[in-house]
Amino acid sequence: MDGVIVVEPMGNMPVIKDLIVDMDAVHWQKIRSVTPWLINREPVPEREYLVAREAMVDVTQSMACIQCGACVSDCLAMEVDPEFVGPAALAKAYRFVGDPRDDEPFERLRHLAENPDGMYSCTHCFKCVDACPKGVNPMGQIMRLRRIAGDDYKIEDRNNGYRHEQAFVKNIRANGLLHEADLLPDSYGGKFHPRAIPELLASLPVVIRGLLRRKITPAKALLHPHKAPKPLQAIFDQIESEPKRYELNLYVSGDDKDNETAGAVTEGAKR
Amino acid sequence: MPEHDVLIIGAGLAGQRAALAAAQNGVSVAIMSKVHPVRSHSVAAAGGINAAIDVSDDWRSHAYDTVKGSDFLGDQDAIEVMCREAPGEVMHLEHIGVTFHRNERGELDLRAFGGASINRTAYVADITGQAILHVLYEQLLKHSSVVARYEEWFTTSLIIDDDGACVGVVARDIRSGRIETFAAKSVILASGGAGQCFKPTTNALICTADGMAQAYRAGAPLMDMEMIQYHPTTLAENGFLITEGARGEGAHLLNKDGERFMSKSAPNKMELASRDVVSRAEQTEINEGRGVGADGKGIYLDITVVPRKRTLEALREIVNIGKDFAGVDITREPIIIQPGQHYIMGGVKTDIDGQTPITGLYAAGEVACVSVHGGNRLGANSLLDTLIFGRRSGEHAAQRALSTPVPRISDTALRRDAKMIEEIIARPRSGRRVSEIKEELGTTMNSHCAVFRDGPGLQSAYETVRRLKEEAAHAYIDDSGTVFNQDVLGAIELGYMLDTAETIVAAAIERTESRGAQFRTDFPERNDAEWLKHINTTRGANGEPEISYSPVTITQWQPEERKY
Ligand SMILES: Cc1cc2nc3c(=O)[nH]c(=O)nc-3n(C[C@H](O)[C@H](O)[C@H](O)COP(=O)(O)OP(=O)(O)OC[C@H]3O[C@@H](n4cnc5c(N)ncnc54)[C@H](O)[C@@H]3O)c2cc1C
Repeated sequence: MDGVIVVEPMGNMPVIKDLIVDMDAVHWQKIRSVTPWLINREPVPEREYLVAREAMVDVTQSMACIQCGACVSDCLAMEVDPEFVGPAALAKAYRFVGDPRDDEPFERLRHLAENPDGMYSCTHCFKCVDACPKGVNPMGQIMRLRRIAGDDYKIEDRNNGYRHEQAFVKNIRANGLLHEADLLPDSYGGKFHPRAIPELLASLPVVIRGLLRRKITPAKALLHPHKAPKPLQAIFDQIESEPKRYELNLYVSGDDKDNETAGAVTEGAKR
Repeated sequence: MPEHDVLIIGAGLAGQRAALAAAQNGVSVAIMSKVHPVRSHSVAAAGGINAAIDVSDDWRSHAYDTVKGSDFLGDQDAIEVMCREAPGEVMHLEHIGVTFHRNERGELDLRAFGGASINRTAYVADITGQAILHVLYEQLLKHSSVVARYEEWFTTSLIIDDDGACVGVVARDIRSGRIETFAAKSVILASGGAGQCFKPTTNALICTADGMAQAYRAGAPLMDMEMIQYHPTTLAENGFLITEGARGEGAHLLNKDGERFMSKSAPNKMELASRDVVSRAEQTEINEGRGVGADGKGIYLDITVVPRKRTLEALREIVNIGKDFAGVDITREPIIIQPGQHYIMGGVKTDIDGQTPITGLYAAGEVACVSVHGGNRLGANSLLDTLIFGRRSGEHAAQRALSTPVPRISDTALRRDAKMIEEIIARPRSGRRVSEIKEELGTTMNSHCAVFRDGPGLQSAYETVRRLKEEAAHAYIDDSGTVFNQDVLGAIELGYMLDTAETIVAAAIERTESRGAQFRTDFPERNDAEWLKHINTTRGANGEPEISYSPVTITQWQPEERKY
């Protein structure tokens, strides 16, 4: 605004003096909480571990983190919940979970899943992605941690986000359009899952209000008038027949403009 | 008073490697750094680290390339140790987690680098130093019960006892301003290089020659100080480094006629000749009117010949540097570069275990001179040097500590340094500003102690440095506080830089021949009969540097003419 640049100390960390903040008390303490060193897969080979070229390029994106704390400073989730492990430490965690030489990816993920301030506390606000001067994309690394936890290790997502996502996929695959009446129960494991019952009861007032205002009708809610069209099914079939998940990686793809380069997407971590 | 068996000053690659090695030997270890360890200058290293790990490579070939690169001034026993131990060290780094780039078989990929007869540079994109430094720091966190960390503590001086042994240091906690004596059975200096004596430089603001000057003041000799490396590719705008990895990947150097002029001075290796050779060729083009850019003081580095996808994957940082600092997309057009100060081959004289002539004092990394680089360091040999000799000094210092009693220390040094700091803060604003003196030092060194040197220029630089030393004694600062007073540290660092610059110029005046990075236009030939020897500078009684010599160790490679 009018060529004025506002300079202020980083956020989410106590100020020591002028622009100097106490990074140790917040940023480094969080880094230390994710067991930030490689736990070697045994046996340790005499020469190098033989690992896929893509796997190393992939974790290099989080190795590119310079520990500047800009993402921590801007993290909205941490502003609300100071205990949140936060973007930098979770990107660091991905550096090990995605590293095929690490022996304990499951333990690491389970820990981050069970911690109430762990990987499910990110709210997808993109602030860290914008703040990062090195293209580390911390939010992207957090999403990958979640996908690996859910898809590959069947780790329970405390916030139900993983099942919610699955419910959306199932819903669209079957109906083509969003069929909201199924979404909620499916997100909790289906209409008859014990976990779904209290949730359904709790949402009863919403359902009743909807009925009263004729936003939904019992017929619409119980029958499925709409079916997904064939071309949509084909898209699903194609995606689901891919043997691996595809993940974008900065070091391979470059930035958006560079996407014309061959091999702009690379395989995700192989697990 | 904190007491440790082994105390390491500096937490770059050399310091962290030393700390981890010492801790493995069952002694109490502490590491101290004036910046957070991951901000150490090693983080800037881009291109990679050399080791003969390819099955068709041999450490002797690496050693020969290093000897030749050094213009036969490197000590061959030390070079042999470094190159023989390199493959094991790189594998160790791989095992603790460094994410080295792989080939299609999943093995470490190796890129070409200057002065090497085969591809032998392991790398992590162009953030190799950062990747290694961060992984070592991960290990420090893992071993935090056995390695104490003093992060953001500034060492002001070494403590020498009545028998001439080093028994600890004085340091200031930057966060609080508190000053303390640290006792140690062994002290390892790993405090990095001296780039800030020059302007411009590729080195960070923290590279202020602290360790060299502290050792020099304590009576240790500095060796090969005249050997200052000018890197062939630094950004014309601001002196930032464009990694040699770019030429390793195939980039060309072009003059204003679009000619690959390296064919004249290095027809075989072309752009990948050793750095002193390439920088001289560039400077010759510039001096003879074939430079590019507005002032004709640049050379084109053409990276467009490298496949774009490869550039984006393996040279990502310099893509960003080009974009952000020169407004150039290096994948589409050439970028203007020039030779710029980058590295100091000289430093505190040590043996192959990092021991200096002062009992109990070790040095490793850029602060030290073993000497593995002699007249000119090969690219990607410095990271190797920091790790090999960091580890060796850590091990030796620990062994020594096991049989050494805890030293008894008086507080004389502490009181002297506290008084010095008070005196700086109290100075009236009548003299010059610290920053002005630093600026004049940097530009003077860059004018007279650069790629081409001559007697009169060096003499005038020497007189300027002497004058600046006098002015620095009264230079004033603005901040009189205690918490994070960077200003007062700047004044202390200026003193270190001036002492070090004085030894650099004195040694450059002394060496009346041309070898490696020292090219004297008034003595353009290499002169093995008189000058196949190291120059050592020690602090004389009058405070001026005194010159002495030491022999070059030759094991299997006799000096010969150097051709690339
Ligand atoms: C831009 C750039 C790129 C490079 N690329 C490569 C490369 O690709 N390959 C290669 O082999 N080499 C490369 N080099 C050279 C190499 O990076 C350095 O020589 C090497 O990292 C030096 O490491 P060090 O551990 O000796 O010192 P540093 O990493 O400089 O660490 C010095 C440490 O000492 C501490 N310290 C200093 N003074 C004090 C004090 N008074 N009190 C307390 N602590 C103090 C600092 O805080 C720091 O922790 C590059 C250099 C530059 C500038």
